[in-house]
Amino acid sequence: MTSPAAIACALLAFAAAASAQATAHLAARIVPVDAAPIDGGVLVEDGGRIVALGAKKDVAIPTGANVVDHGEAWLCPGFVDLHHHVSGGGGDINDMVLPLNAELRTLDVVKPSEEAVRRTAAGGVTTTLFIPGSGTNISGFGVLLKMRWGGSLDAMVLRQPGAMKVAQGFNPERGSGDLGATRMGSKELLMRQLERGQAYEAAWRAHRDGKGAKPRFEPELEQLRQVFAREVPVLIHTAGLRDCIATARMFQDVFPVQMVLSHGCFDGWLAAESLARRKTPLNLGPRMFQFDPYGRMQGMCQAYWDAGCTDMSINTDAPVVAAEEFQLQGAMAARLGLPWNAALMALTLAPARQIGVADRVGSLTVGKDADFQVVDGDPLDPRHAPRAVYIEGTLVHRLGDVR
Amino acid sequence: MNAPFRLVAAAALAATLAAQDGAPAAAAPAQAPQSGPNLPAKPFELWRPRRPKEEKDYQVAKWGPRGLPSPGYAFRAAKVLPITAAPIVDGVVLTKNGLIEAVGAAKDVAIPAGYEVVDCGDAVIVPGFIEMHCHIASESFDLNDTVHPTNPEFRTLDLISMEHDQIRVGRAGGISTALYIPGSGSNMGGFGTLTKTWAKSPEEALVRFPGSLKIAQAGNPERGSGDLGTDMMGMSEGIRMTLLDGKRYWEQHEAWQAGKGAKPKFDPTLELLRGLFRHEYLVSVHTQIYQVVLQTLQMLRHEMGLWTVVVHGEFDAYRLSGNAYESGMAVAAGPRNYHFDRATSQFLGLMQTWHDGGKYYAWRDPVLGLGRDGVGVNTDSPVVPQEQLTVQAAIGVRLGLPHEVALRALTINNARFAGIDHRVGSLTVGKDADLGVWSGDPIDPRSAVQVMVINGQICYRRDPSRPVW
Repeated sequence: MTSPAAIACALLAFAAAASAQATAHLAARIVPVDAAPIDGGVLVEDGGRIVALGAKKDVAIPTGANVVDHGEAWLCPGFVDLHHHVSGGGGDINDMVLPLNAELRTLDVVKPSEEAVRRTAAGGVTTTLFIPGSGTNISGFGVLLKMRWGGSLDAMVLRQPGAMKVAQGFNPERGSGDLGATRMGSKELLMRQLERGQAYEAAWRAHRDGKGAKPRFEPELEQLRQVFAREVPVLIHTAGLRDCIATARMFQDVFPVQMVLSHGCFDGWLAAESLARRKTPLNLGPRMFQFDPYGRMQGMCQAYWDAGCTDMSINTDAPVVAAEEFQLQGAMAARLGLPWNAALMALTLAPARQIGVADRVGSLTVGKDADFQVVDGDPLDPRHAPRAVYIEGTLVHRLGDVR
Repeated sequence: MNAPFRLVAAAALAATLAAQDGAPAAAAPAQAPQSGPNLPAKPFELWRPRRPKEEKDYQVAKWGPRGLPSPGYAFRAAKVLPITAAPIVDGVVLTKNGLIEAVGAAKDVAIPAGYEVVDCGDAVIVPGFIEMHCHIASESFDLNDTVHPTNPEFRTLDLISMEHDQIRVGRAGGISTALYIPGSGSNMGGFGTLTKTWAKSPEEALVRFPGSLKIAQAGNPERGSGDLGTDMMGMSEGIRMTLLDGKRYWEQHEAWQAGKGAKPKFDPTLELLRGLFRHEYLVSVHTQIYQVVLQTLQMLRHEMGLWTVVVHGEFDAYRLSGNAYESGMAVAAGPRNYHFDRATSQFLGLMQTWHDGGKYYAWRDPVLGLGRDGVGVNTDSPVVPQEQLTVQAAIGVRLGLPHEVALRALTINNARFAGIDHRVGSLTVGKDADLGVWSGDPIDPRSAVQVMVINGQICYRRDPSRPVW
């Protein structure tokens, strides 16, 4: 084990991009997620990346490397939560004067010193998509962050923009007298704005290809342009059967964008067959169950899974469910019938793929970021809190430091 | 299923069955005698001359799937009422893969191997009923976005859900197809959807989108002081101008398709109106009171040339029944099913007065009625609960509508008004396997649905210890 002093040094120094030398982490079991678990494994980190991974007998530990022996604990990837609102401290993410706000972004709201960021990391969550609220139909663009608290913003940003946030039904329904007081009006407004964004992107693309005049610069459409260039996905707050189908129609059948359907709660699972047919990427939660019309408790993830929706991740919608209880969301999904493998995948690699950062995070794979957690056993067992969490090789949490 | 259903008032039913007609095209013998001097000599014909002949010829409307997998069933019951053919005593209906395969007397219909026989005993099998004015195919209302006076860009398609209480109770009341339309908060609430009341998903439930354009005149859509549209003049101006825009857009498309002009720029606000002028779907009009329905007739049917169905028609509007007959404008009446005529202090039955005109009471010059083919019925649910569609028909009969016309109103007439009679509205080979197994005459309010079948799937069985209604 490393000494307490070494840990303290690491905590102070984690704003630095990479450690000076390689570190070998030994553990009783390593769960890479994209490969079979390794008993008696070693993970070698250098410069913030995973440079080697395997059974102790197969991996040569570089000369001069630090060796950290985690004893009987397991290593598993840091979790990825695609629906997270607390990296700015809570509020300040619903600017609702206009019904559509494709010009807004959360980047300027992030507080690296925020207590909630530290707590998120303590829950084993190393990557989050910090998105605006659902007060309006397009509430702005979120940023993908590493939960490296206490340092600079630059050290946290994984990708900017991370995703556009769209909200359907319920929350964004507007006051009496406004267009968008019901789903019909808000859908119409949303379609109009998306059509404008699509045309704007096409005009710029044509101009770049020498086929048209330079379009007039429209600041409120600039970020939408990236969506239609398929550089930035759309995360759509959608709950209930009706809105699930409406979202699939709009963002899969009509607009060719990269999309993730987020929430899917209440009776949304009744749309599962329609979504399975479209291979809709799902990011489920925070409510993990529904009392169905016949009074039975229906596991939400299980219902989608059984219908063939296999592109599935899970969220907390923090602060709706506390960010540090992300693991518990996965445990609930498994308790209510989602297979263990699928539940672990839904906390790690699936969300990383859905949002387009699986080349960096989501699994313990050589070449990816060394973002991992040290757990006393099965990472889906709620009795096991992460005893240590590393982001890009740097210790960001040790059990007992918070809580 | 072997529950021996008791047929209530069997003798009464037998008497009404005797009045059932043959297929409409068939020659005279089975034809019911038209009674009363004001009934038209020829059956009512709905006016929609441009309607495409086949589903594949529709350009704007989308039809839902048909023939989805379902088990083979043979439903056998004491009475089968196909509606467009003579009643069958001890009949069998064969269904498989969402469609009706055979309808006939038990002695004539061979049940193929592997088909489950559902013995319904003394029960009566009728087609699933069709609701022409439904607001409850979604769990909250969410149907009145009323900022603009006209909203042809809105649609109910994205709102549909079929596992909430109201629609579940509705299908337990025998309703299998509903025209789910926006509210009447604005003059054009948007486009409605024709949907089955049960399926595995709303997409499988779809019959046709758009089902209709909802237009509302007078009453509800009148706007706050200071807005254009505080009265009929302003409202009609708004409806007319929007429809004229749509008509122009349709004409540009027609010209382009005839090789006489450039392709019009796609306009999402007007695109669905184009299908309206192609007669791919109807305009279902919230309109009531004589002068309002007169305006409907003049503006929508005659001036705009739309396939027009009145989906209220209350108060004294029935006085226009002769004009409606001559113009091919149908009336799916309700939810208020009577009119109190102050001149004579009498209750007039709404469906009955539309059916046989204005001869009896206060109207001095008798007018022609719509006859048995021109009258439908609605609940405007939740104004009247969806499951009471048959009670609406019962009130019609109580106030003078022939029983046979009430059954047609619930089934083939509503289906024809909506343009879906090739799929639903009667027990006919090749149509959708939508049927209700009733404990007795469905027009008798004491009867209840025992089994409900939609698209060939048994989607409801009555539990006597815990009935849905």
